[in-house]
Amino acid sequence: MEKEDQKQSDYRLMERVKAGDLVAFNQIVDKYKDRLMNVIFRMVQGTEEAEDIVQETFLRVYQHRDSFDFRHCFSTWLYTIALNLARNELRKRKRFKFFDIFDMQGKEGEIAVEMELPSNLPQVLEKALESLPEKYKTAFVLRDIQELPYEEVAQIMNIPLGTVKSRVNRARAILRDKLKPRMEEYNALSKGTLLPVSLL
Amino acid sequence: MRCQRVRYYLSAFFKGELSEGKRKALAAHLQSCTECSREESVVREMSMAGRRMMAYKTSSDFNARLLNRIAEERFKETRSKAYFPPKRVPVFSWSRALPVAATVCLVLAFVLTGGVKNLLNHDATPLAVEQHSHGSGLDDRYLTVQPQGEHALAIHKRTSSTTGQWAFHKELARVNRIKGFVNSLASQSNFDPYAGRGTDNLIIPVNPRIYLEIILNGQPLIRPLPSNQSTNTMEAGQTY
Repeated sequence: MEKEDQKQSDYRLMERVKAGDLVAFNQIVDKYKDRLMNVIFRMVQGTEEAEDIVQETFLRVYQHRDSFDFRHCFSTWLYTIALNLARNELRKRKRFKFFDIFDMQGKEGEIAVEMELPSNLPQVLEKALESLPEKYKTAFVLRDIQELPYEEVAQIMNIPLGTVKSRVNRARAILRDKLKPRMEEYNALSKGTLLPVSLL
Repeated sequence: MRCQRVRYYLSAFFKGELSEGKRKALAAHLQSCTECSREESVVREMSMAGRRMMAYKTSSDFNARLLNRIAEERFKETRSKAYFPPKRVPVFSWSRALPVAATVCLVLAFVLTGGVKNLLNHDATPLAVEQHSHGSGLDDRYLTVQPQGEHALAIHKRTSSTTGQWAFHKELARVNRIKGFVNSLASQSNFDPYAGRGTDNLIIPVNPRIYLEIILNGQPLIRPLPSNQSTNTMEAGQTY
């Protein structure tokens, strides 16, 4: 019901935006900018790049406001544009990866986090998420972090519902396997169990 | 339910995405299997950690920068509309000029190679014999020079397929020459074509099989020569 209300409110705002109302456009931006930022940041792993992509997304929405189809959900359209832009950015990076002199620095950073004790589980989870393949990461972020329904994730990613479910489950399994040793250490520490010296 | 299957469904179980039957089966398994219940605690921790994950926010001037960009876009649109009006149809374009040039070339080629003159040239090819040999009527141009009786020219054509047309053309030219000659004689004041002949027409043998009958100031006729016909006006084989 809440979802339906949101949908209707988005349609009303978009109708005003179509008529050239910048106030309505600003309301849409306020409503979605942080949600998009949360998804896009996890895709591209860079605050500036993520913000640029979110800006570009809203700019495209404004430029193509006349082509918005009211039969479809506005948020689906918005996420689709943003994810396409993020994918383009990742593709560009892949092309120039060979020449990236900061690669080693990144790896050192990762090693440093690996060696840390898991005092902050969300941070460890974030790090583990970075290493997920893009297709699993997108499905996981949209479903488990943005908490979008499976059907909407399927529409945004333009894949069948079953594939989305399987990708989300696969992503969860990979993350669980990565986090399991850390969790066990964390649980053992919190219970005051003696740990082998090597783990400390 | 087996452990492997239980672990596959653990996340969905924790998120409440399973059907009632699967959920009950999984809960029963978790109570009996310590390994799987440990796994379940990991999933629970992970899910809670996921909720506590950092929420990224855009910078404070995000809206202002975006609206500036939109204003720029709108300005560009307005400027491009003002300074670059929609394209006019060009006066000259190759796509239009090429068909016209091709047509002009074709017309010029037609005119320079003879064009209309060729079309109007009646003497170009003697079609009469060819048409006659196919059983159709003679060409209108040769209506006044028709073979009669045995159709000697048609026979002649059949006997000599390669020279037939040209033989007819040659005969016709000769007839015209004779006609011109006779008319020039007639125009002389002392010429009497009827003198001592007892006939209205001038009979001229063209070859051993046909003769030419000329009606004064009329069109010449080609007739087959009867076998006992004597050439009383001209010597056989004499040409003009």
